[in-house]
Amino acid sequence: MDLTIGLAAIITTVSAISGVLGYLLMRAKFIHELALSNKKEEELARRAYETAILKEIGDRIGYSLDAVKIIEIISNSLGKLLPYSTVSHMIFDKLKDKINFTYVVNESVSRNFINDVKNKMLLAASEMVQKSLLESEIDESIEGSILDDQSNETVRSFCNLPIIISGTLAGIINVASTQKDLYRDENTEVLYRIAQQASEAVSKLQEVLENEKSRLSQAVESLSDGLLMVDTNYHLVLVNKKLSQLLGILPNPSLFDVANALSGKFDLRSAVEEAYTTDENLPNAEITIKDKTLQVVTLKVIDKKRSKPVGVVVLFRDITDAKSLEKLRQDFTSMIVHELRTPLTHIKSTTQLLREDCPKMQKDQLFGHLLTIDSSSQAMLELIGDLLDVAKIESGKFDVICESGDLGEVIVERIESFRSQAQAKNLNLSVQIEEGLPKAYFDKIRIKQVLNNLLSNAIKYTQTGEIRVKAIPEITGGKRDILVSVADTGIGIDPEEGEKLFSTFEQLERGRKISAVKGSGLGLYIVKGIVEASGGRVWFESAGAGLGSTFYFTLPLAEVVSAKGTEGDMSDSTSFSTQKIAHG
Amino acid sequence: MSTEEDYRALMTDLIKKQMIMLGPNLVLSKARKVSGLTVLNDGTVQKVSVDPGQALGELTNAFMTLSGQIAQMTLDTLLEKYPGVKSSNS
Repeated sequence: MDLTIGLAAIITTVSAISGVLGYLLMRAKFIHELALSNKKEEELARRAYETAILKEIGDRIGYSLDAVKIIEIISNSLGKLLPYSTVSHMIFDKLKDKINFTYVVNESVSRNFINDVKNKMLLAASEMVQKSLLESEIDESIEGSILDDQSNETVRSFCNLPIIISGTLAGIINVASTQKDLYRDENTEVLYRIAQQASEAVSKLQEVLENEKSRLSQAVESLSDGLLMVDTNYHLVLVNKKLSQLLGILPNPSLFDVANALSGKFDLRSAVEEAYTTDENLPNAEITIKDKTLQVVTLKVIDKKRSKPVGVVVLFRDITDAKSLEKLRQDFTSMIVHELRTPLTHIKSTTQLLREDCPKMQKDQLFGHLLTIDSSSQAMLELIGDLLDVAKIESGKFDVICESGDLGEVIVERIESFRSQAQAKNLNLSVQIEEGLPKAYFDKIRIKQVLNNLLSNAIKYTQTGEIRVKAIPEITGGKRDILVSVADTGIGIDPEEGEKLFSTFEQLERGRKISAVKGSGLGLYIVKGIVEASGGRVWFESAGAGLGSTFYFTLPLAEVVSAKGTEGDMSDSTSFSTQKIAHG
Repeated sequence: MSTEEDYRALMTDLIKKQMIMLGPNLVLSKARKVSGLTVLNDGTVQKVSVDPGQALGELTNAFMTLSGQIAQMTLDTLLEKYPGVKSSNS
């Protein structure tokens, strides 16, 4: 009986122990699973937080590159993740060359605590940029709870989050607490991941914008006008090299340099301020700087989305050439009117004389008056002929009909026609045609016109000495042609004058200064048009004023053109036009 | 100085610089998770019980997850100071 009771007691005890052990094992398993579940929940919460913050950053920064916004978003959301006494940030203000600090106080701390935070951030930034920033100019602002200078709490935990945009430190976020041993867990690591991802996103965006900006800069740099842009704070945003060239200042000038160069000519600041305040376009200004006439256009730049001005663009266009061309046109018109008026006056006065006194006049007197009318009409016809030729050359419709011919023969004939004029001025007129000169390919009538112009100019501008005309075959750069030269011992040509010699409307000033020398100044322009349309070149050489000059032109050899013609199926006579040459 | 000593000194410098830049608690926590490293509270690497090259690699990777470019830049600067040390991250 006792044994039975004893056994029952043992069995009961063992069962009870088994039950307790089972319970303990179950409990341990349950606790373990609960811990795992909690850990998973925490991890999920961190992931959710990270996603939410990144989404908020994405939504709020949009397409801007404002590092301050990223820092504010991260700073403002910290309370959901970590305990802290202060959250602060420092931002580099490159424009003003200083550092802006903002401290948001969550739990009242002392000024010493704030100073400690500032020093920790400055030390961190100094290490990151490898340059001491402790002496930098600093702006500070404190937000949130009021400071308590009685507080003895010190910074016992902190972490710094660097914000790096495109490889450059843009700022640092600091989280600080009076509690020990904080900011060492996964929650803190989430902040670093967020900071890195946000920095990368903005860096990529900045890269895209930098590319766009670079393209825009290239476009601005390639402008033929000088250009600058200032923002609403009167900071220089953009300036191109052309502006520096026009104003005669060094490249990449400051706004002060530009304003200084314009001093007394154009009040840049007033123009910018006026552009901001008025809705009307400002009238264009015209200024003269360094012998250049500049048209200044001031325009307000509006952000269409916000309908707000974002800057003012000032464009400087060099209108010196346009101005001198305009003056040239006016002078040319006056000259043409004068050139037509003189023979017309002669004709009118002569006909009036004839009308009144014709019956009383002797035959030779009458003949003399008729000769005056004839030569005056001829002069007008020649001038009008020149004007028509110029119009054709300019419109690319100047035709030359070339054929194989003896250029020497044409030269000799022209020389003879000018001999009496040369003799009248006691000038020796000589010609040298190389024996066996090959045939040239040219328009006889037009080349006569060329020779007439060159010979008449040579006689006009030579008071003593001689005029020598020469024609020889030449080989230049493997190309064979005939070279004709007309050399004189006349007034010569200055290099500066020479540049204008073959242009429209430009009659040499020195020629005009010689009262006896008159003319439209179109002759050499027409010479150039004819020679080039014939497939030749024209140029001049002169040792300078008073030292004579030599004009040269070339014409193709007939045999060369003929050989090409065989290849290209050309006929004996060919028509060229300035249009064709220009496009050749 | 032996190469192993160089590794230890470099890792100490790296940890101390990261502590200034990012804050001590998280940096120490990360450094102490690197297997084979014994790190004191001031960031000094007291003992390296594994291949020091491997430890440096792990340490650098741990810091790179916090501040990629900053950690890389700090490592590059330190590698110039310790020419005998080779890093898989350099």
